[in-house]
Order: sequence, then C-alpha cells, then structure tokens
Amino acid sequence: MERGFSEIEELLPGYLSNDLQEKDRAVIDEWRSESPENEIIFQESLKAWEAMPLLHEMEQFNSFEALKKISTRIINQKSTNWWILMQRVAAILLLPLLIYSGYISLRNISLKNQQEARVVMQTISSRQGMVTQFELADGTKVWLNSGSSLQFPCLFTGGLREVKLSGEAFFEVTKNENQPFLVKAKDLNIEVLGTSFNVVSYDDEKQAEVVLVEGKVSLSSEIDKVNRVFGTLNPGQRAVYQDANQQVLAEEVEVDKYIAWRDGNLIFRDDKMEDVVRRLSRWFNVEIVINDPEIKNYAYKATFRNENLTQVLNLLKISAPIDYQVIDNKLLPNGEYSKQKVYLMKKKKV
Amino acid sequence: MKDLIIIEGLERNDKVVFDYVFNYYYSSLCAFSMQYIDNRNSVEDLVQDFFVYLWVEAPRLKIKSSLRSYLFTSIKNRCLDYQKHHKIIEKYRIYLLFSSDKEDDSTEQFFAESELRQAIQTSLAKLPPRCREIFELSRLNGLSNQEIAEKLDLSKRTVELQISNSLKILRKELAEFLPFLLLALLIG
Repeated sequence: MERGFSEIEELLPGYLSNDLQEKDRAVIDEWRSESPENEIIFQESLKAWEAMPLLHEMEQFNSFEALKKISTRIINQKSTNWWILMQRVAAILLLPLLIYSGYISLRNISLKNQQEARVVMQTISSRQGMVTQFELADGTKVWLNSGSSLQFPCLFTGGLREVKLSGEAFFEVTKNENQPFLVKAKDLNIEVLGTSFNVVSYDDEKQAEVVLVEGKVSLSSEIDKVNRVFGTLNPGQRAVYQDANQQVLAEEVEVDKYIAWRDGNLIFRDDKMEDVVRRLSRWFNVEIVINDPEIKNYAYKATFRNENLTQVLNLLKISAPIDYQVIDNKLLPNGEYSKQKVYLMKKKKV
Repeated sequence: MKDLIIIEGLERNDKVVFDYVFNYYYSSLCAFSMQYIDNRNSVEDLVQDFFVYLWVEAPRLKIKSSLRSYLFTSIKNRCLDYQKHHKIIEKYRIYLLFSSDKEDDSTEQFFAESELRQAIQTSLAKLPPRCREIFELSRLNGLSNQEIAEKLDLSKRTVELQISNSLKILRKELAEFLPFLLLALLIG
C-alpha cells in the first residue's frame, strides 16, 4: 500500500499539468475514486500545485493604480450628488423664494456675514502605502502621499483659500489673484497665487519643507499671533523650516526626486542613508532601524519604481555595503498586527 | 481589523477604511473574476465599478454576512450578469482556491493576495533549497521538466522526483494554512 502511494505521488505532478499518458491517468483516476480520503489528498495537491500561479495572477493587478483612479471617481461622485441635490432644492425653493425675496428686499438685512461663517470643513486622508489624488472646489489638484491628511472647506469663501496639511502633499493650484491659496503646515504658512509645489510636514517630524516646481510662493509663520515673514521661494528651490529655531533655510535642489512619489517612484540622489530610511519606512509602513552608526551617513543613489519592500532591500544590499534582517509582524493580544521591523547593518566581510 | 469595525467604517463612508478594504481585496477579486471573464481590462473595470457602488451605497447597505463573503458573492453576481450581457459561454477553467459552486457562504474559502503570499512563503521555506529552486522554476517560471534538467544539468528523472517531492511537502503545509478550501474540480 505504502509503495503504491508513493507511486501515486510521483504521478501527481504529471496528472496536474496534463502530460500523463492515458494509462497513467487512469491509475490516478482510479485511486481518486477509491476513497474520500484519497480525493481530499488529491484536492490538496491541486491546491498546492496552483497556489503559485494564482498568486502570480493576483500580482498582475495593481491596486495602487486602481485606487488612484477610483478615488477621483468617488470624489466626483460626491460633487455630482451634491449638485443634483442642490438642483432639486433650488427647484422646490424657487417659487416661495421669489415671493420671499420681494419681501426681504424691503427689509435691509445683511445675512451675508453669517453665511460665510458656516463653512463645512472636510478631511481626506491617504492610507499607508498609497497616494490619493483629488480636486478641490476651485479646481486645484492635490496628490496626498501615504499616511497624510488634508483639511479643506467644501467651498472656498472669503478672501483666502485656506487648507491644512499633515504629512506630504503635492499641489497644482488654480490661479486666482483675488483669492490667494494658503497651505498651513505646522507653524509654517505657504501662500501662493497659482503654482505647483510639494509640501512635507509630518506631525512626528521636527521640520516642514516646501519644494517649488513653478511659479512663486511666499513663506511666513504665525506662532502665538506673532507673524514672521521669511520671503519668497523661486522654482527649483527647497525650503526647510526647523521647529527648533523657527528658521527657514533655502537651497537649490533637483526637483524631480521630491515629486516622483506621485507616480509611485522613489528617487534617491546621494541622499544620506538616514533620510533614505525615513522615506522608505513611510512608504512601506515599516519600522527600519539602523544598527550601525557608520552607515547613517552613507550617501545613496537609486530609483525605485513600484518595487516591493523585499526587492528594495535586496537592491540596497547589492548596491551598498549593507545587510538587512526582517522581523515579521506579530499578532498582538488585541487581534491586530505589529509593524514589520527591518534592521540594517554593515555587511560582514567574507 | 475586525469585520464589524470595517463594515461600520464603510457604512459611514470612512475613506481610510474604504482604502484598506480596496487594497486588501482588489487583486484577489480581480483574479477571482478572471474565472468568469477572461479579459484583464473588463475584469478591472468590473471590480472598480463595484467599489464605486460600494462607496456610494454603503450607508444604505446592510451587510449581514462576513465582509469577505459579501465582496466575493457580489463580484460573482456581477460576473454572471456580465456573462449574460455579453453572451459569454462559461469557460471551464479550474475553479481553484475559490469555490464558486458552493452556495452556502461559509466564506473562508476566499483568499486575499497577502494571505496567499504568506501561506506560500511559509510553506516554501520548509522545502530543501534545491527542491524549492526546481519547483519555482516549474510553477513560477513555467519551465518544462526537460528545460529545468538542462538548465541545472540534472537528469529529467531527478527533476521529476524533486517536483513530486516538493508537491508532497507543500500539500501538507498548505493544507494547514489554507484549511477550508473546497474545490470544484473540472479537470480533464
């Protein structure tokens, strides 16, 4: 019996990939029909046989790209629903409104100020590991990076278009000279008329930065009602605001590497390993620990396009004197998983 | 995350929860749909349309089954509609890892990409290195036994033995990891 079974096991791969001869196929078919246990073994084999191709098929579908598409559709959906609702409300209200407006015009009431005070605020967040793209009411385009959120009014009223950012975002601001666009990133205020620029301001970091692609932005801060103006930034410049000394430093940079994340790319150009690690851990939502102070200042150069964490780490290992160790996420008592942890260390000399 | 918390999050249009669900299930729902519609673009459109519907209708949906079962059942129904509409004659593919004929929705026969990947990685780690290399060349890279034999300078017989040995180990490992599978067999 035992010998018979190992023969069956030898024939199974051929059976599953359909290249057995008629005689051998019959052997397996007969064995399958002999008992329910045999059939279960067969089905388990089939599962093991097809698992990898199935995973491969799943991997062909890019949920990252798809979610970008869908997010814009969802935002548009929202505004259409809102618009249809408004049309209905308008139609219903039209007649009484005509009568009422005649009445109101006789009395001199200014309701305008009251209305402006009641602006509905909205927040959109981007989950770890993905980029969300959407449009604001004025047509301004926003790309929101992994783990970031933007607070903005449903409609821009008053003399200023004001939004509040936590994390990283890229803005393509629609030009409107009568209503400047203001991004609040921590204490830093970034004011523009119509430009495109990138802002990074994570709550757990001690700095905020702005990279200007085109146009002009002016930087200022407001702490405890004290206003400070830092001046304007030119295209191709990057300004960093330090929380500690409340100062801004500007430098000329290669703009591309700061905005490549919008297309799912990560670009490093002689960046310190410390910064590389900071961006990688945000991108992949993992904790990366540098175990050796010597590699902290190692300058690194690379471009990643849609690579996963393992692929990136392997490239790192090949192109730098660095080795890594991954500690997988553990199941915590509350049913959630801890973050994956990666240790970087110097490669041992062989 | 717990099912109830996720469903509750979807119902109040929480974009973070929605994104989570999308990322978690998108690729496996697409692969699942490929059983019914053998066209990548149509499949992606179909699954994306469903998620837009899910976002818009979520506040009014009362999802009583598990989320997993709800997603796969909804997608399956959309696939069947699509077939009817486009007069597709169902192709008899191997209905693998996803039971589609079972009407009782004891759900757990559906897998998300991350779950399947973890199961495979853990199981592959149990194989001896040479075994694993040969099995991957066969099942991942689609090489024939003859090609593998030439590439690694082995006899074809050795390759065959290694593959059946790998399958034997993987079968036992995966049975533990993906235990609830019911397969509708349409081989041959």
